[in-house]
Amino acid sequence: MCGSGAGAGNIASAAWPPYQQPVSTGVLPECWVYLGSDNSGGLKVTTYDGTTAHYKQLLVSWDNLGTFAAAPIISAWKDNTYPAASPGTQPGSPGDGSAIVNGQTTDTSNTSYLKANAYGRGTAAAGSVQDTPSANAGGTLAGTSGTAGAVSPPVTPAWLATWQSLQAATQYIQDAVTPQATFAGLWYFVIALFTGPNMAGGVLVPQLGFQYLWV
Amino acid sequence: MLRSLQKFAYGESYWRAILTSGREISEVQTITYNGRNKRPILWLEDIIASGDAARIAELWICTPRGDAALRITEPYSAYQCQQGVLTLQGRRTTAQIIGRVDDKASGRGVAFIWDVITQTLYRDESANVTAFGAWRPGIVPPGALSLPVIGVRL
Repeated sequence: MCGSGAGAGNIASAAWPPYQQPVSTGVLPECWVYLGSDNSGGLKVTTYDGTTAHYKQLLVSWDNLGTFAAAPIISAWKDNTYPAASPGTQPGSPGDGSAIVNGQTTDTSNTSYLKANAYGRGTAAAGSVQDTPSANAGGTLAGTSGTAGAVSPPVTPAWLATWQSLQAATQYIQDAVTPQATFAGLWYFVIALFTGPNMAGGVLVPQLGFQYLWV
Repeated sequence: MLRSLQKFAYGESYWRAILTSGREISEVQTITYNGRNKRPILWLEDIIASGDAARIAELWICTPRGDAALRITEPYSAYQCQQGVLTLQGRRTTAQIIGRVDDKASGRGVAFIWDVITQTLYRDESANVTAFGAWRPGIVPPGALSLPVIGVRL
């Protein structure tokens, strides 16, 4: 995530120009994705600008071999041990993703700086139905957006009316159903990353993840 | 043997079941299909779809720090599932659950959970397949488990 024009796919994101701390809470305008540990193959998410006016940014894809044993979730953690968040607490010496995931009292009302919205269920629990969006997420998105515990996109299907904060086990998106067994699917979601004047700076590396149970 | 060592090297666990016939079946074994190809034993295929969910006598979880077992007397009361996380860095197993439903009216029973992150084997004496709780603070409770998938009939 970076300022406009600051990113480049052939340069590791840690070497990009620092994003200036803003005077008020707002969204970062660019999103890049580096798959695995390769720092030379960054892909710009061209449908990301931090607003709600998009619907195909990111998706989770599963094949028809695995079988979910419960409803999966989308959340973010400070590192790859997936620990609990400390809402509102900014770290003294950033180096993981806690500055983003924890949020801050004034900037985000203790919700995460990272927000997301998801569409429908991915796939229905039965009947071989795939939920694929055809319209922008829309909905309410603010730096303070966030609901305690789980929120689930409508099974109609539809987007969440209010974007959710991704804050470990404190605030997350949970599928309304357990997706159908041995049926391939895609679960579409969009994100927006905020920053603010009270956010600790540094190289911030939260873990955006899809957590699931399977047999 | 090799696959069990691989599991332990990653800090992971595996399930093992002993059927009422005395036959042993395990996640680290392989099975031959189409006459010549091999694949790992799968809970859904080789326990549930095969009908062996009704014939489990013991269900074990084998971890890098020791094993635990559940004696099973009621058909379709034993279950197993695993938890994982998918990030841009890849996929990782974070926990494995084995359990037994003792009260089919409520879905309540006992479960063992191997937590790969903490390398700890937890025992939950009030595990409920209709609302599986968090086994330690700070994690998302799995919630309702899919009963046909895990092998339980209430």
